[in-house]
Amino acid sequence: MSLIDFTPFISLAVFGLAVTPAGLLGEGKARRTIAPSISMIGLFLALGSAIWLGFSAAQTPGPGAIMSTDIFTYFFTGVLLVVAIFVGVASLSFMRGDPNEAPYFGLLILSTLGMIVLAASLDLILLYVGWELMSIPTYALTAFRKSDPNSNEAAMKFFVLSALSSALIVYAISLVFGISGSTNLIAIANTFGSITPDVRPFGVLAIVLFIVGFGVKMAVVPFHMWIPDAFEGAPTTIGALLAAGAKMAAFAAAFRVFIIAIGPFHVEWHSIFAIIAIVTMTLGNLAALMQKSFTRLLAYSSIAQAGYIMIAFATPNGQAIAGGLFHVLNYSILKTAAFIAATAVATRLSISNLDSFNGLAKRMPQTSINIAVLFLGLAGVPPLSGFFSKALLFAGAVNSSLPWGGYLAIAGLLNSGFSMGYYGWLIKRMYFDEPSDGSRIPEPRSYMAVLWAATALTIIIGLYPQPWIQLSQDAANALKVLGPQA
Amino acid sequence: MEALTSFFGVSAILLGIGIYGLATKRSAIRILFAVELIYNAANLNIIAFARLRNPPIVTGQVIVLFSIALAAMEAAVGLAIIIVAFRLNNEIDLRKLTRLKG
Repeated sequence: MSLIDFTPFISLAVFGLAVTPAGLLGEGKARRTIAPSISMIGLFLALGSAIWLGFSAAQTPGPGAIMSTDIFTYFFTGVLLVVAIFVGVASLSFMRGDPNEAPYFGLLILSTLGMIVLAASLDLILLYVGWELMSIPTYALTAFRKSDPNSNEAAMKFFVLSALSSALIVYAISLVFGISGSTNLIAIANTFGSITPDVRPFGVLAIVLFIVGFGVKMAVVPFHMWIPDAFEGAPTTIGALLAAGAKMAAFAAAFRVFIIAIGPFHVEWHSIFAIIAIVTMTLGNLAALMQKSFTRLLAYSSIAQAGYIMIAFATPNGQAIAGGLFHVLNYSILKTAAFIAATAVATRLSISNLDSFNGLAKRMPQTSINIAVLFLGLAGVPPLSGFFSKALLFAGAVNSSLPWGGYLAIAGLLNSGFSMGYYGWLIKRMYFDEPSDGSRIPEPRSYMAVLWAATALTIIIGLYPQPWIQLSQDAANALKVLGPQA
Repeated sequence: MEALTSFFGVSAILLGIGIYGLATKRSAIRILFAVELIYNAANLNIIAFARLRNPPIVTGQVIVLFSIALAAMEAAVGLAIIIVAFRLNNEIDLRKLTRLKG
């Protein structure tokens, strides 16, 4: 293990700290382009090195390692950096002319750094530091429109619940530390395997607090209340970062903690996840059907998708975890792009009223075709990427030895069908309804670049799923190798 | 063991007060207090567990130093958001934030 293995982290740290002061350099036009260009270089450098290292230098961490450089780390690093790049490219248009452009990009990169640190951490101290490094910039970014009461209200609601989740995670860490005397996840797993009955209640309390703490960021029911408000009020590009970036990073942390550290604890904690998964996907889909605003619809659909990924925790066998990771990859691409599409529409039309999507295909043809493909991908229509990750996930649930596996798969299938209700309904609105005003609306190039890239990825993953499934399986194996050997 | 029980008892009481405050208070500042109480309950726990273990482990003090610094950062950003909210609405009552609704 050498310093080279940490290139993505170092790159983000250096560029993230450099972007904000770089915004003070230069004059006029140069001043506006320096900070965004530097941040783009940093993000692409990190993504390139993560992909290269993932193929050449991934290794199983040794005992006592604090940060792991295994394939699971690079998998999540790649996914989260793709999200950050999509958000960054869209922000080039979104933030153009804003006087605070440089701090915006600086916070974006530092938050991304927090996310990938979270995915790499094998130690609870590092996990907590990564958690806060991810969260604190997102509070500021959500409140970024200082004179907009909606942005501020979203930030208040987000901050209160998120601060609570951080506090509960520290309390859970304190209990786990008290039981095991260590903060290393692998050492904790060894202690939890042979836990004595008198400390068992403290272990149960720690698990409950971890579920609540991570659950707030993963936005699973019943900790999902902040999501629709935060996504609606925050700047739309930041909605994409919260929905795909912060949420998936929280899933990465939960995978690390629940699969590795708490895996050997002999209490039926998997059944809690089974209940959460079913309730989350059902409630998310039901609520999404009733929304009148595009961003709220996306918010509830993201809650439903979190329910599908929770299946991987409820039936933690190799196949289901691989399916969960594959769905993390697909969901991140699809959801980020859907939010960027919302940004593109919001520049001219009201997205708080779905009537403005009537006949959108005539007014914004590129955006509409992309929204249609992305929605079909989210619903899991066969030739697109979402289908294969859901298939792998549900197959993993069916093949599980746990009694609720079959029910989870049935609930997931029913919900996927049900979700076509609102996805299909919006597509119908765009293509078959008549617009009230048929004028063309300009579609900024940077938004379209992101949308076409995401659509291309969705179709490519859908047509050639095999290498991506293999990648997810390798990542799942890298995770399971560190956990209990059953 | 006796000492550990009393430390853990105090910490559990702090956690309880914190959760009670979160559930019942309306002012954003008071909610921030409640969150800080939960942080401090956790810090007390960690210090007690680290100090009273045989032999004592130094990792616990490291976690607490990190936790205090990060909680302070979080409170700073939170207070900034609350100040902006007060300038916009002349109000920091969380129940009166009803602009965003489904």
